[in-house]
Amino acid sequence: MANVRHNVGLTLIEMLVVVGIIVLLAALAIVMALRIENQSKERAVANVFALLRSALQEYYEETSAFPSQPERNHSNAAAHIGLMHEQLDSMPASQRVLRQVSRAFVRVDAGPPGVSRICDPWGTALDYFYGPDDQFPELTSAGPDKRFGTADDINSKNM
Amino acid sequence: MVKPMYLRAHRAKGLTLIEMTLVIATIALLVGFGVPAVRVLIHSFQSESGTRSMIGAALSSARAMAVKDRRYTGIRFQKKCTSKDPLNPLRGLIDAPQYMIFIVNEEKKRMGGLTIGFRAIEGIEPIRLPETVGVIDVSQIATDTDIDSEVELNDATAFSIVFSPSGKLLVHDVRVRNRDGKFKAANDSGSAKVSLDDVFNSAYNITQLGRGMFIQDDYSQRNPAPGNDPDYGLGQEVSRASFVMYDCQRLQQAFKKSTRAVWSEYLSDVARNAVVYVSPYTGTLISSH
Repeated sequence: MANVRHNVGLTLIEMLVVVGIIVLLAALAIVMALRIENQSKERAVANVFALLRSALQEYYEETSAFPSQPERNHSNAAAHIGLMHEQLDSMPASQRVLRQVSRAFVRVDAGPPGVSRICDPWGTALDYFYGPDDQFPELTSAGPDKRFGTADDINSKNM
Repeated sequence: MVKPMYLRAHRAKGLTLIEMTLVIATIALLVGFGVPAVRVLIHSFQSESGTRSMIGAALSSARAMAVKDRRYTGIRFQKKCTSKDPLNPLRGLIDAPQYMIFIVNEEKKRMGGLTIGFRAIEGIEPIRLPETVGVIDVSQIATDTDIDSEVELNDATAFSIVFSPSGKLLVHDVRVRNRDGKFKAANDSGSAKVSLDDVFNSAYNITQLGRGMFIQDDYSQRNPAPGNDPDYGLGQEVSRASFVMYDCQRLQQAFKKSTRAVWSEYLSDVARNAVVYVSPYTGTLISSH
């Protein structure tokens, strides 16, 4: 009888090993998926920055200046990026590049005057800064934690 | 007595769970060792050709600007200053990213008396090179002792390629400064030495005040006593017509070893085999291999 019980079915240890492996694989898959998602979002930010940079460059070629926005206050980021969007949209050359930014990242506020904000993949508006002494403008994304001024901010000057 | 079928066959055929686990684990381990190596190999090919085309595109637009504006215009390669220590502005240089900066020759009176003064072109952001590939000027390096300090590394990774107003590549002396031409700018010392240039600036302004990305040439030729005005390897230098592309990881490994035998361990090999020349008439890149 003891012989039969030992030979068919699985022991507790074997079951534990199987369940353990399954849990391990699942955990690994989840971690990988999260990392890939964040990576793709960071790449999306880099792409948006690249498009905005070339739009800004087109604007500069036309007007010999970048849209001015000298206020350094991240809490008004939506207004800053809206201002930049409006300026770039007013010039045909830069407008053409600006329109290539995926619609998923552009939020239009209702009603006149209707400010268009450009957001990062985490849904926070980007910030735009260009002071009178700067050679070129600066774009900032608040990063995955959606808060400006933290270590995970993505700044166009550092990439 | 005849044993039931399942009892007889059990030990003879098939594998136990433990055996299967072992086999799968071994396979996974071997694949795990192999994948990163293959990935690194593929990555190095991709990023090297990518970097080449980036540099080629930048050179041709610099050449176009030189012709359009009738000025000496070029590309400067330099590592960003990431140090916060004014006494050691080159701290962490080996890990710092390298950039391409568009530079233009500026009039003597606007450059603090430098006839060969160059500044960053306004409105063009410095372009960061990929993290895996860098460019280096090996024309001054022939032994390990030529590149065993941060200053020598900075000297080798900072160089310029300049086009004349007629669009020809030329060898021109270069010194880079902030756009105000201020020597040793220090923005908190009074109005005479202020430069808000956010590309090239003095080591002090970058490390202490966070203004600027790249250390300018603050070497005084009138007063060249050692230690007087450290040039950090960024003094006057003629523009180049060739350079070498290197693998950042391998250079870092060789540089961080206590022997610092960067030349014999890695660079001499690259310098023989992977020199990239700039065509003097068209500004395009020509490889030696």
